[in-house]
Amino acid sequence: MTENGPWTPRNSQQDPLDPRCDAVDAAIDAALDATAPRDIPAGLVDRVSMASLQQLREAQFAPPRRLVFRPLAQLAMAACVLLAVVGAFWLVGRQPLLEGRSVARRMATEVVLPVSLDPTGSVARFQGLKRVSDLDFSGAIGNLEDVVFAVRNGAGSALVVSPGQTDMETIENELDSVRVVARMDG
Amino acid sequence: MTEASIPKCGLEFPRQEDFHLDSVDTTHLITQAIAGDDAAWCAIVAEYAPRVHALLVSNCHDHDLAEEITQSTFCTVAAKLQSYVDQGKFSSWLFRIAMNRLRDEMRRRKRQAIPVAAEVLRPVFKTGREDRSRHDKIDSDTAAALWAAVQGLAEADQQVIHLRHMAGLSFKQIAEQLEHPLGTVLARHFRALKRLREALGDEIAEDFMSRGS
Repeated sequence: MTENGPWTPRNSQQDPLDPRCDAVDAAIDAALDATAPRDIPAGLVDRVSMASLQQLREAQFAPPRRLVFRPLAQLAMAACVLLAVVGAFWLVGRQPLLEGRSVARRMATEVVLPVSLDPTGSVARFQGLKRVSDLDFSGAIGNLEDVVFAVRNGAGSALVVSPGQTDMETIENELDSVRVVARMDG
Repeated sequence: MTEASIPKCGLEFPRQEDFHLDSVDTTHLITQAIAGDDAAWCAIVAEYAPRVHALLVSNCHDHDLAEEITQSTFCTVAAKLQSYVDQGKFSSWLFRIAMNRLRDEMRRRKRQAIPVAAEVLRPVFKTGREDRSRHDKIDSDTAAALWAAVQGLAEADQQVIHLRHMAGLSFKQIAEQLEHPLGTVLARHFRALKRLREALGDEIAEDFMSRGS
């Protein structure tokens, strides 16, 4: 059993055809509208209404997805931004520290180590080194880097050892010459 | 609007002589349906379900499948109605869901639409034609020949004819549905009418004109 669809033939004045269409074309269009097989099964609208109303009611009582997910998305975004900022601060703060530590470690092997070889040497003779150790961090970095640069560039290589000069005196002279070259270069 | 096609939801809703809604009516009904007005939803279904069904039948020639997909389409639309943002394109959205679903189903069943011969269509035209407009005098043979000629058109041309005459969409709505410029749709429709005219012969075409005048 079928019933007719609810829509009526259109008025071509409301929905005009292509301007090239003549009266015969319009008549064919109207005939198509009038004879279109629009018969629908009986009760179709009822069945569709009932089935879809259930979905509509369920959707009305369920919270819209965007309301559930928007705060979560905002929270996730805020966490990402915070993590990025903390990470950036950590990296920026850590970089000079690492650099300073590595320079100090190199100086410990290149400068301090030979001094410890003389157990009988007087502390007073190493006031220069003491001054270096008393420098603040930024000053020490600059001086030590200069010293290392000077050593690597051959400072003290022309030093002449005087007769009767002890090893410690030689080392101290070497260090003095290194400091002089470092200051000149600096 | 026939009595039989009014939804029997057990609800009171405004009865109209003709449920051919314009976009303003539809927007208003959608707003009411979103707010929980079941009668407004029933009115939307009463307006669009037969048209969706007719369009699907014209494409798949299977009433059962068409009804199944019509139900499924309206269930989907009802479930998503809360998040629907109205831009006056409800019908385009609805028909696109229906056609996509039909395409998926046809693909799933691995079957193509079966062209319908005039003999198969003829019984359809013998039912319920009596109250149709000024073209009452078109006999079922002529109507069957006309729609058989439609079946012979290119798929793109058939699509416009079906959307216009089965789904009852305006050219503007068809353009939105197909995502083509309006001019393209009008030109395609013009081409389809010319081909139908050629297929039917001048005599029948002139006959349509004399009946319509």
